Amino acid sequence: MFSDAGTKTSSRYLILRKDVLEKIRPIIQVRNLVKKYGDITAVKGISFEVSRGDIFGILGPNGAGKTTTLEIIETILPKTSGEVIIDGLDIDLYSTQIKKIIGIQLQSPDFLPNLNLQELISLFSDIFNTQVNIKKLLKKVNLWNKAKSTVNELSSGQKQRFSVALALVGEPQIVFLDEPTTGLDPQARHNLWDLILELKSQGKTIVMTTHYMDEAETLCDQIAIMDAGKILEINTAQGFIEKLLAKGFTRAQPKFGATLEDVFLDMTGKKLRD
Amino acid sequence: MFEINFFRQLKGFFLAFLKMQLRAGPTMFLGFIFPIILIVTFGYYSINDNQNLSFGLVTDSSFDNVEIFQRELKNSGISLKLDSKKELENQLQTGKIDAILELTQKNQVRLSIGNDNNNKNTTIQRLIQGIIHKLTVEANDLFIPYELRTQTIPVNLRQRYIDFSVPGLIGFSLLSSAITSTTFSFLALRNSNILKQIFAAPTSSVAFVLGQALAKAVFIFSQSLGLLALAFAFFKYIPKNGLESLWQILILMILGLIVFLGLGYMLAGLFKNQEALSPIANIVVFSQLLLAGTLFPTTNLPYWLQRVAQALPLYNFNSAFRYLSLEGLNLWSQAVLVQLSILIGWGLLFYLVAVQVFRIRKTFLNN
Repeated sequence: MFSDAGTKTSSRYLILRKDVLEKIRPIIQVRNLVKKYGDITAVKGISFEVSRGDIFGILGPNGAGKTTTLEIIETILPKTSGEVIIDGLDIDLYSTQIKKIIGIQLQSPDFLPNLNLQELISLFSDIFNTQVNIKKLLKKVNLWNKAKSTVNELSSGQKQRFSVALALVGEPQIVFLDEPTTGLDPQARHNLWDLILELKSQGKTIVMTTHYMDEAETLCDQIAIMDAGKILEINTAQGFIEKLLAKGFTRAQPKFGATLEDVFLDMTGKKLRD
Repeated sequence: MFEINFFRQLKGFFLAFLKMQLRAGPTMFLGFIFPIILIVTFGYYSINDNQNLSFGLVTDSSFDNVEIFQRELKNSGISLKLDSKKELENQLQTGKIDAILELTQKNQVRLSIGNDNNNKNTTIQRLIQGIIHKLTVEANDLFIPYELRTQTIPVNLRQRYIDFSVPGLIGFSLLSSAITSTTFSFLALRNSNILKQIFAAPTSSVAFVLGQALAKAVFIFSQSLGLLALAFAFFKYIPKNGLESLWQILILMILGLIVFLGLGYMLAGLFKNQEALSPIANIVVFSQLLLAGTLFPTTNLPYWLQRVAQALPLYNFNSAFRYLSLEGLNLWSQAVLVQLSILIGWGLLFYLVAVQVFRIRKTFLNN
């Protein structure tokens, strides 16, 4: 696409520009996204961008449209109108290409029955046509000792972690996590946070939804607060807090320098339980 | 970026579904145990009440009371076939009729029976003696000395009930397994997030459906082989020409399975939920168990119902199977080809409808 037309210098200039462009272009661009289910409009014309390598959090109460938004970007749900571009590819035209570069953890995942974890991962590596080191992958999510178990034999925390492992089989550039820590105990939650931060350190982009503010505060580079199908504001955690404080907000002073969760983790340890 | 490999996906789904099938209890039970129960039950069952007897009748005008004999035989529930003596003897030898009654010489009744089943032949002899006795008493004004001459004819391959029922049961097991495994597993997948998970990945829907169908086919086919082996081990069931018939039967079984899987996919596409599908699937499976000559010959049915039965795909499968196994015909003989073409016609229809329905309901895979 960048032909040799022009001088040597200009062509070098163009290659450089393309390189820079790739880096600075948002990996996800959503414009005026609308989703209607019959008469109900679940997503009412939202727009946002996610930068490459960021952890992008969508926060909101139940029914805000978080999962719908995510599933449209994941190419699972068709949209009603608007534009979604993933890594420069329009979702309407290149859904198969997009599926190859994304990994998905569904909010309530189901897996083919009667297959063990190893076999499920191997099936997904067949689908993505990748070579997966099953042992390494399962160790990463602390499930190697469960490799021969079926999903039904897993606790909810283990199931969530396995679901994340499956999302990584295709060596995705973008990982979507839909309420990954809902229903997990503090140990499992912190373990998953570590995993998410590790993925970020590998240069992957992460888009996640959550109900937990501390989670968003700890993990997310950018946070979109969503309610009733609309994005109210996008900012960093720090930015949100400073803005609120600037309005003169004061919070009742915390009584102690630690939280009950700190106590809990101190007593029960950070080691993962199953 | 990596490229998607269709055949690797196909292999992946094929192996995954094969493992799932092997580990799933209910399908094993439905597909395998039920036909076994039927084979065992009906293997020990044999037809020997005169309700099902059929006689060949050879008459001549020199015999006075042909009509009376015919009436009495019909009153005893025996179906009569009129034909030449030679043809009837041939039919007796191959077990299509149970006896030949010759009313050709004045006051002489000649009975030919097979040399195989003593119980049944005693019943037949008693029956004829009873009729002669009755006629003699009725005609008391004129004493007619009927003379009964009985002759036994060596029978080559006497059809046992197991020889009749095994083809039907194999057909039924193919049909019921094909339908339950396609329809209900599709619904189960659709009603959970499994399809969502699979199709959020770059999965080829052809690889998914084909891999699944192949796994089911392998599984169901080996089930039926097990049934055949069981019938051989316990009931000495052997097709007429042995191995020569067997490989043709196996080809027929594969064809039948493909057709029945098509029926399953069609139903899975036509009906959205279990509530609608269950009764329909049951009707399709069990009506054919009863009507399609699976356990009972259709010749006992009223004529109009026979015509209906003969149009059912399982009937065509069963009759083709019986032509091969009982009569030792080849796949390419005319009688078999007629049944095969009807069966293939059904198959084409099923897959055409299934593809159309899936096209309309494409959402079921993408949503």
